[in-house]
Amino acid sequence: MLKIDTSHLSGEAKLDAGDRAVEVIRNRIDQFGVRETSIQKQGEDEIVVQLPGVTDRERALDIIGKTAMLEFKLVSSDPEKLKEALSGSVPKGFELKYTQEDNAPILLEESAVLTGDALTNAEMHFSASDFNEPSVSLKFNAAGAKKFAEVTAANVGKRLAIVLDGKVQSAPNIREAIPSGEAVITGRFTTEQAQDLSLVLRVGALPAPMHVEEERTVGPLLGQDSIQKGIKATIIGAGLVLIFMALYYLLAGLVSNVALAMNLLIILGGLGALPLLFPGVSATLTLPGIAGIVLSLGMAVDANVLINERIREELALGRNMRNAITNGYSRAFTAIFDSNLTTLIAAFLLFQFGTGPIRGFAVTLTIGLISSMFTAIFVTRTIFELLLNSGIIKTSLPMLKIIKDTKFDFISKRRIFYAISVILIVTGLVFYVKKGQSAYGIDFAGGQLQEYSFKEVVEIDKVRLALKDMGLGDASIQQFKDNPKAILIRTDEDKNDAITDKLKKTFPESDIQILRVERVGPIAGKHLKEKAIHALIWVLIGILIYVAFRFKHFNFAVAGVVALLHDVLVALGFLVFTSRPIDLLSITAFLTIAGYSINDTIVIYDRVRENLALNRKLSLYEVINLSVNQTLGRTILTSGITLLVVIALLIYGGDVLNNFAFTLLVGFISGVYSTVFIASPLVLALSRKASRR
Amino acid sequence: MQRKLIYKVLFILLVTGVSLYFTFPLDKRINLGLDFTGRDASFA
Repeated sequence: MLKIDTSHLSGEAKLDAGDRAVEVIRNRIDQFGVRETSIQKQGEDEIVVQLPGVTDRERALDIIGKTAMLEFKLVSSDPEKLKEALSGSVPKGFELKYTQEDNAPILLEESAVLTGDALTNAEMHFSASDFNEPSVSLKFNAAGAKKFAEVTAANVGKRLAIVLDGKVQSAPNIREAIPSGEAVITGRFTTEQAQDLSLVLRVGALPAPMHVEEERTVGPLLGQDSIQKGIKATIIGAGLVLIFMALYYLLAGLVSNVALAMNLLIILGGLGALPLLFPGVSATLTLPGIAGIVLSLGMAVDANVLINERIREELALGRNMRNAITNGYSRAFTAIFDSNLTTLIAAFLLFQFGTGPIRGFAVTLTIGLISSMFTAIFVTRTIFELLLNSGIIKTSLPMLKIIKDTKFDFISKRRIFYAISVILIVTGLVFYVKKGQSAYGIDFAGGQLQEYSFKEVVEIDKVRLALKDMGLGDASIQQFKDNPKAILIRTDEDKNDAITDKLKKTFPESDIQILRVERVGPIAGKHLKEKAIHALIWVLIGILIYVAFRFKHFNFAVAGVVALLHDVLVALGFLVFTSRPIDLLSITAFLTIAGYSINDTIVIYDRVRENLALNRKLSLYEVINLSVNQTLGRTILTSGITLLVVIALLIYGGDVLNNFAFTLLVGFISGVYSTVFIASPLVLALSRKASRR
Repeated sequence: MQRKLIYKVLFILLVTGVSLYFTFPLDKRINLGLDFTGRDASFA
């Protein structure tokens, strides 16, 4: 936690300093390239910065805490005045400094002729004259350049000191007027120092100096518990998937399992290799990161299911083994490629426009998608070829089949499903609007969250009564089912100390421990919310453009995006309805749902595209029905398998994962529903509307 | 044909090897971030 020293600021600047400092620090860290950071204002003059995975602590602190106040000051050329200053009485309007280079005394005019505000750029260079020493070159904006030209023209022969955070970096002679608006800071920099200095100058100065007031690591009690539960849930979920694939697809399932295991290994290896590929970035696995892995594993399962089902179809058509495998892969390829690339575009845009946790999600998802395409298409194919060549598979590749061929007329019932969806979404939105600010978790609404552990199970009413005594009757108090010895209290303001005292007095025997306290200011919350919404909008635009391009029709894109929004809104509704807070994690869950939903939709679109080309006599109505029926087995299988993972997260993942898994569960179920009952009929409805025109 | 297959297998083994190298030891390669625990006690 950083504390801002606002003692030298006055009035409005004082009030504003915290928010400005947050912005500056956020920009600096973004440029520094640390992922999954969290920067939030706390109270008037404190800033909490979390940098998971940063190993070079001092460098990080230096970058964050450097005020980077850059000033250009004229040096007095009067030796008498310098002598006077050295004897103890500094003349008025001047200040005595010592140069960094040789520690020589130097008398500066107190007021700066130019400051860092006028900079447009700062970059590190290796100066040719000074034995290739690193230096920082500066470029001023138009006004700054004009002022710099004026100052240099009027003071030829004098020295101009470059002062950074009150220290004289250098004081070169002005040999001539400099009209170009460029200057260079030299000094005894290491490359790293020069790089960091140019970074902080580029991003801008902090409004006031600050110091680190508190630095802490995660409370080990809760952290350890969450990690263990998260790992347990992931292992159970992944185990269920592997068992199911092996039981259902038999030998082909085992091949898929090799691909899935390899996929997970590549994701972890990819995260581990990040620092090598992008120096300064270290791999930190966080919850949003896990979400990215879940989504990419879901898509990898889907790719395998798609291929296996295609091979089954080809075998049913009477092709020989080798041809069935070759055709199966080439038929499944477009669906896999398009759905993965769409999600990849979304991941790229999330990285561009998102903040810390959302970026973490984007990184794992990107690695996961690339490795999923590699393992599903290349690795399994190679294994199949090996099995063929070695004669292990010859004429048949047995697989189970639970879902028989269907011939439902999904489209005729579309109005009923439209109505169901509209009712669901509108009800959810009404709840959402009614809840107002209270729908949000503290990430977005601001406020304080404190969790206490007690020695025994406490009665929640007793806690409420105690808080009421303090005038906190409206605080929300929560007790967890699987751990009733813990109590979570959410308040608007920082009342942590008072609450702790009160609870200790009310429950003297309970050995009360603070598990965690979280505080988020309202401005930081607003910023996070805005960024998340921006990222989401860009993702929608990206998907819209790509799908329209690949399926050569805007109707497909619009229907796909409507289905995607449908799923996110349904999940939002259920979240609000069950009084679960909307926070940064929910946003990650929404993004995962969006990725999954569009994947599902594209698989059916791909079939529609193929069937349109194959069956020119059929109407669009018939083609869509046919395609939905043909892919129904795959849709139900893939979703069922992915839901296994999500349900495992929900049951075994503990408190922290619970809301997240719940949101995914609702969203994924809605995703299957919307793909079959909303997106596909909507393509037809939009096409009819267009043809009527 | 056979030679192509051998190259493919070698490539897969290479990717697996590189991934293994960068995955383990897990606790050295990958940090479990604060967010993993729901961003907790660091505010306390």
